[in-house]
Amino acid sequence: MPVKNPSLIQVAELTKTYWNGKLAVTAVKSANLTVAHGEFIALMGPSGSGKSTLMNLLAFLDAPTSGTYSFNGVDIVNFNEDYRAALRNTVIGFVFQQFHLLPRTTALENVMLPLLYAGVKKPEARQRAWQMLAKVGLAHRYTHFSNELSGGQQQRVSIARALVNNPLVLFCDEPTGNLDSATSKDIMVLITKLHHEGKTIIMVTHEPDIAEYAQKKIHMRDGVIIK
Amino acid sequence: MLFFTHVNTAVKQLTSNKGKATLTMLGIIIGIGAVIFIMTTGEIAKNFLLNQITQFGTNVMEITPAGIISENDDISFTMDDITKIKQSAVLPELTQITGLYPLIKTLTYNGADHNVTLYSTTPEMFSINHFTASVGRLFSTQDLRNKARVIVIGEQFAKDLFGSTANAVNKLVKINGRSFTITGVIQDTPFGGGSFGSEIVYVPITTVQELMAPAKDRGKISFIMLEFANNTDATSFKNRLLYEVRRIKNLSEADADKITAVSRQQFLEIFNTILLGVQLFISAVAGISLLVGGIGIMNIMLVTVKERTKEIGLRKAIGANNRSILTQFLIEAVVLTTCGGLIGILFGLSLSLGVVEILKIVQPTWGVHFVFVPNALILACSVSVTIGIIFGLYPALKASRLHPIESLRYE
Repeated sequence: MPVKNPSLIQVAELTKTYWNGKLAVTAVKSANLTVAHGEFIALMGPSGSGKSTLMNLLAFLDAPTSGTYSFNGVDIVNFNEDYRAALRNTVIGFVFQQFHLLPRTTALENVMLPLLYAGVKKPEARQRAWQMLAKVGLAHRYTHFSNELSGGQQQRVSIARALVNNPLVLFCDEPTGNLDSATSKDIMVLITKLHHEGKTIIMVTHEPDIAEYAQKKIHMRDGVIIK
Repeated sequence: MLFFTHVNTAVKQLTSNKGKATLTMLGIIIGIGAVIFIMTTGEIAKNFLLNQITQFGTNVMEITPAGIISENDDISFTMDDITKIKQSAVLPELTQITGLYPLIKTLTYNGADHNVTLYSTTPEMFSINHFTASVGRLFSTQDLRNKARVIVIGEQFAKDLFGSTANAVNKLVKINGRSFTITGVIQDTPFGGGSFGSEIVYVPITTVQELMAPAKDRGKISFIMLEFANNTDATSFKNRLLYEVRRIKNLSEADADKITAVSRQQFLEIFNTILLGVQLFISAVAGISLLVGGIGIMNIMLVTVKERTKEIGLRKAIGANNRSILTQFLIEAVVLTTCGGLIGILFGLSLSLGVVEILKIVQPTWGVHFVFVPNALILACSVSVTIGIIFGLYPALKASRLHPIESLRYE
């Protein structure tokens, strides 16, 4: 997707309904949202407000029940699993609250993984992964196993992994939720730095002080964007 | 290549818990081990038999009265029958013929008694079986005519009695109180052991018939052994032979089954049939072991998929598609079964090698040697991989169909 559009993400009437047995639960109701290139947005709201579901939809982790989604000027109409997997691999990066690094695997191998799925040859993947680890300040730890790293270091590896394919947008789901306040600050400084370098960032959080790092806050409640 | 990354992950997964992996692979190890063992030992046995038969004459047939065991057996052969068969006009392929008459006797040397099976026969018996004297000489047609009191004994017996084979030649021994001279020693044969653990002693049939056969058995022989020319149509020859024997013994068509003729080739075929039966039976048992092993693999793979749900979710979240996850878990199953197969191959080969080594010590004269069967290895490897694919498919499909978000949230 080389075409540079003024708005990176544009969704209209996006809705997601789950079936909990016979009970229909609408987690996101008719969401309308536009995200410009280079924006840093915080998605806020209490738990169950639908902020995580909306992010999962935006990050192609889930398919919407209805509504339209235009990403970088391309209307996404095909939401089949393999297509979404390819999108997740190439145009977005994802940072999780629980880091989700592979155990018994080195920091470098964790970061290499998205490149290998993208079909990049191993020597090149190793080189690019190492550069990305250096960028998040972990060049000296690349041979360490993920379980030998501190929480803050694990989250840095996770950020390096999300960035290694040079995505158009970085999604962060409660990136500091499992970290102490000092480490949280370090991670937010790193994310802010990425934003200043021009990366588009969408972050889910329920902590107001973390949301302060964002340019723009979007509040949700009961599946609806309220402001 | 992602393929090698998957293999690497699989090996890591396997070596991270060797005990669990070994237990999982046990069924495959036993099954493949059994397949390798039965195929290898079968081939060893076949080679051994073929070797023996080639060594002691391939174009050899034995004629026996079917009821040789029964006491009041009404069919028995005589030396006259042999002469008549030899003179038959319809058996031009016949090259040599002899008769054998075994008797259990006591041989005495230096005051010690030894049980022996006395094989009364003619010198043709030696040439039909390609027996040669390792020391001294075999008895001759001359000895047969003279009813000479001479015997030929086997190597081991000669060593037991006289310390060495050379010492045995021209020694005098007593059989049933009568003196006999040992003219020579012949090599031992794997199947040459006498009845009930006694040693075999060859003696001219004329001598025995004159001196010691029970009066009612005088002139009788127990079975006929003959040799036919190369390129003989064995089936046709056998039919004509049996026809001639019936004619000579005045037997009706109904009594046809009272006489049997078995060639050594046929013996080999019978052995091969029995061997095939045993191999099929053991293969069936091995098959059950492989099936159980395969189910074990499926079970452990399902547990693995469950345990690693989060990992699957993460891999999908960062771009793995369904096929990639399917391939990853299929490769893990195949790595598991292939490792089991390789251990099984080593296990089966060691077992076969052990059997051969034991036989070499227990029966050194047999000349049994180890045979490597490449087909067994190819079969074992392909079976291992196939089991991995078959029993790994369901867990791998299950893994590939997991939803990324639900998997990431799985606790």
